[in-house]
Amino acid sequence: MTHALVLGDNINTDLLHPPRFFAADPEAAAQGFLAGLPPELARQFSPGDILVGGRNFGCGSSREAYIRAFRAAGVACVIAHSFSRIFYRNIINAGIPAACHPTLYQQLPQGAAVQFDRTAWTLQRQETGQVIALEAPEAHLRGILDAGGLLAYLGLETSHALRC
Amino acid sequence: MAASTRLEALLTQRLGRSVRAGEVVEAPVDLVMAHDATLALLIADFERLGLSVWDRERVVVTCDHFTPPARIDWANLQKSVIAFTARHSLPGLRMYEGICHQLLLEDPRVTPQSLVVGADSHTTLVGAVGGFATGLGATDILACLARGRTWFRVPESIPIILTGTRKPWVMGRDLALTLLAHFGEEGASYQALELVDHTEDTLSMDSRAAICCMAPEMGAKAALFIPDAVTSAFLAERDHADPLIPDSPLYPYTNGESLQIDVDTVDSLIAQPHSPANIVPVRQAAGVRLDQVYLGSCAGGRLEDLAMAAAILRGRRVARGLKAIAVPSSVTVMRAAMARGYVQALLDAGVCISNPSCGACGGIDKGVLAHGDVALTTTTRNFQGRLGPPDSAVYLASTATCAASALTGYITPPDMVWEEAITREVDHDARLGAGR
Repeated sequence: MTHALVLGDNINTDLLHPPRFFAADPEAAAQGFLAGLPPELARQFSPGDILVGGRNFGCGSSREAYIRAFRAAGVACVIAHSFSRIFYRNIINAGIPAACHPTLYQQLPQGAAVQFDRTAWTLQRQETGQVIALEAPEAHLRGILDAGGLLAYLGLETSHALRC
Repeated sequence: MAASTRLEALLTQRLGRSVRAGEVVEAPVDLVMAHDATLALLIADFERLGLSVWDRERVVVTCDHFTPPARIDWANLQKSVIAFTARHSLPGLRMYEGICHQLLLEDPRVTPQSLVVGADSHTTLVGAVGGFATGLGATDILACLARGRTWFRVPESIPIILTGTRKPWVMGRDLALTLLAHFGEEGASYQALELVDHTEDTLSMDSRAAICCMAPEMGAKAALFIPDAVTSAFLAERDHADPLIPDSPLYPYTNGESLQIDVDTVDSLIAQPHSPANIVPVRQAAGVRLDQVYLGSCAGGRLEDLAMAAAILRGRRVARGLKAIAVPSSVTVMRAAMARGYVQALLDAGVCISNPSCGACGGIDKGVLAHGDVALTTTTRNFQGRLGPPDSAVYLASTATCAASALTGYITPPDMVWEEAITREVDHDARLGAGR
């Protein structure tokens, strides 16, 4: 079972991945994953978990060092009230699902056990059995996700597994 | 049906069919920019996939983020970027010549008709001359390098009409902060700002660049100034040719809100830690003790900024123990600032002049903060940890506010140190074309 790390509004890229961890090497970049957040909060994330945020998630930098860190950390999906545009493009280009929900970040208890269904675009809570409908990306972006990322979608890459 | 925004008109012309806000379009781009920090992130994939660059002449690669590098790992990244430009025979490598967006502003290929994408959020700066410019991540830029085109959701545009007369110490940056106070960090999300300059003295191109640069901090996809006489004069001087200025009708702007700003009502503003939209009047933050004042970045550091700083600091000294740093935004800017004596005035005042580059703004080059430091800067962002450790704090303001505060070592409204002589010097500099 995966868990949700619940964050607030305006979670910017410097909180998600501080500049001092900037690196092209995935292992080096991975060191900075969530390193701008309080350590006791960041520690709760395990591979395969999901991130839940509020408004304007991912505002700030275009630098995809954070995408390397997200991949290395095994972020299964990000659900937010709304996304900042470059982050939104970047995460979908990387093949990591991003969905919207207006109030999930205010309702979901920290660390709640959840199951994300990327076909149905729903989130099921283990504790209550509740199935929460998510707002999926528009068709063109779902196409990129279904292909496994932008490079595969454009036919620049045929494999699903993008190397970082 | 006629276009209702300048961006619709620009994309309609480019694609040869009627384009409306809300559509997803794929459009050819004129220029693709990437810098040492972001190009480095796509090289391995680009080479592994065996791709080639779609048009070598339309790629601008800048070394500006690690300039020169202070860490071995970042020197290695820059080395890989330089090698990439050699392997692909890219003539557009700009080594240590300045900040990528400023170099685009100075590039004759960037016109009011241009569509420019860059691997950096602040690429929106380029809209100061009237075209469409936006930032993308490395993967999108990788695809652009290979294909020369990318997709956009055509944004709704928010018209912003500027009127009135500025106080002599109010700069473009103060107007950017005015917009940030209005929109907050996401109020312009996915939209474009289309600015119309009806102010009494008109804003210089440098001030326009400072405003367009800050658009992503409001969530905006792009910002542009409707081309006018200032645009024509800037392009004529830059290109030594008569510019092609498009007809700019009064677009009806049927989508989105509109905003009127009377600049008479604008005084110096400041963004408090840790959000560029946490705006108050400078006098409300006055008295905060500073460890560092930093003039530079793509949101400052242009000729107009250095002229303002020199006018305020000439014949005076910065506060004892203060780290005062000025970083011209390009070599062209620095040469002009030297020719006009601004660099000399800043050196005499005790300001450290660093080489044209992104400097401390990206948090990955010289000028970063120590634990507990409080800085006042003209940089783009003051997110927690942006310029140093999480317990450092950054305030953002105009060059005038930064220079005034450098004198006292405390946050200081510029009108408190203002003298008639400064107005005369700033006016004189403007007549000489500082900031045009």
